[in-house]
Amino acid sequence: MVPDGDSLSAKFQADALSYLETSRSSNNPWTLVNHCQIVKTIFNVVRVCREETQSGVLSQGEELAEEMHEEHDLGALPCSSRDQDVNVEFHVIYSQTWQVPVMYFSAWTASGSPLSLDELKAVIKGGLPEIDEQFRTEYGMPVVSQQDHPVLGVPFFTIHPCQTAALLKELTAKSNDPALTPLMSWMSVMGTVFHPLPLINLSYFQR
Amino acid sequence: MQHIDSPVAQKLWDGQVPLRISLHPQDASALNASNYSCFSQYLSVHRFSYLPLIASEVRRFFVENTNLGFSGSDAEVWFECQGIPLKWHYPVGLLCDYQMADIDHSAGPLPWHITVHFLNFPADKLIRVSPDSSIPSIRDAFMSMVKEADFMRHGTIKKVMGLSKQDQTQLWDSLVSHSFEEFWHVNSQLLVSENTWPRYVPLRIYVPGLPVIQEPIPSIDEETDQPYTLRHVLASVLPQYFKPRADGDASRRGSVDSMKRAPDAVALLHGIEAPLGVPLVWLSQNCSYPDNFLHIVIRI
Repeated sequence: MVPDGDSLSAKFQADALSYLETSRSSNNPWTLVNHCQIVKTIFNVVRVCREETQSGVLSQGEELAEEMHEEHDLGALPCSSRDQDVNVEFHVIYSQTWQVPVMYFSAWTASGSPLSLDELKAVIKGGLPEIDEQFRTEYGMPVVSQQDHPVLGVPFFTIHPCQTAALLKELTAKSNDPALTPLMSWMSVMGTVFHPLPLINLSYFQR
Repeated sequence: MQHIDSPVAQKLWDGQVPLRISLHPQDASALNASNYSCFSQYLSVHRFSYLPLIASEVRRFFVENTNLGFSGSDAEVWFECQGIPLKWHYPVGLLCDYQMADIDHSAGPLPWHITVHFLNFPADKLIRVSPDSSIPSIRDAFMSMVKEADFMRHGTIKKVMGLSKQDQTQLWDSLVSHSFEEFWHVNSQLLVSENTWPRYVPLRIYVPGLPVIQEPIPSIDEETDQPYTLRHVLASVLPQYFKPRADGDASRRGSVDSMKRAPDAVALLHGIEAPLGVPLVWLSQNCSYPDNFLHIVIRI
């Protein structure tokens, strides 16, 4: 017997490879880890109290983050005792159960201690700050919760996938662009939730 | 496929693990516990229960007997075995089977000796427990698995969502109060109806040191209409550890052919070796944990 997952995740892999191709033009592309997982790490995101500098760092990726880092070293930023470098990791893993991509995300300080959801929300600008662990999907599941990472076995935050399939159906029904895979539609939705993620090269859609 | 083998389900429901719980020396001295090395708590815990459900009992024991200076919440209590934090959202029986199967960290004979901590919750290794009360977190984790199992079997989670509010509450509450009848009154509504097969079988396979295996496993062979056995599944998912067919009769033993092949690994379920020839769907109906998953640990 062959578990049905093999053919399903093959489809994910094909979509992921085409997505990776698209993301290559950004300076922080995604990486394919295995047949059902793509990964992106954003290093040196500086957690600061000043809103305007933070969003600048987050939307423009690594290089600017390093510049910020220097500024940070000069002690130019306020509330320096709470400032820390954090690494934010985003993992997109194909769920064999729900048969949709699932976003796993987590962030760590330089000393390796993980950020709580509230702390993460200070780093991630986008739709995430509006949802917390009390929010429920219509199936009564917490929208955001910690789950064991399916590969690493350690806690990551995740958005519950029980409604992703319905969302994808709606998104792809409206599009007649064959290049727009379900994965890419879903990634663009995730991009609005996670602001530091330059998920999609917008010029791709403006052709 | 509705028929439930009640004696089997009842026996599994009543299964317990004897625990010996000791206080971690570092936490003990940080919290000024006295004579802590003289005290271990001995508890018999149901295999289908969860560690957060014993946290407050364990806290009381050590506060009363060792004057432990702990005034925090039960959400900060966590357990480990030989330095490895125990995942509180796994049923106790699964944790125990996993520890017994891990050759590098074998737990030794029963009672299962674990250590309790009251400080330094390892947030990098364990999911945080909601500080308000540890019970909603574990109930959420449990219901999340029940819904996932429903989705695997039926392709929707309508069976769970179709339960009345009271039945949904009763499913968890009956587990906490250990009421077999109340649990099955609700749980039987979640199983596949008579004369139908589940789309996929809710199954998780644990090999110490490897990521958990969870794949969509169909219940019957479409071509032959025969139900898959546990051996079919394990030989397909873990071909390095399980042969697709049982060894031949004794007369072949010692032949070059069978000597080349190592014996099958062991599939542990509820503390016993699961027979590999049993149909998976029967196992799923009768031997699943209350979260409706089969959690099978492989001992190599």
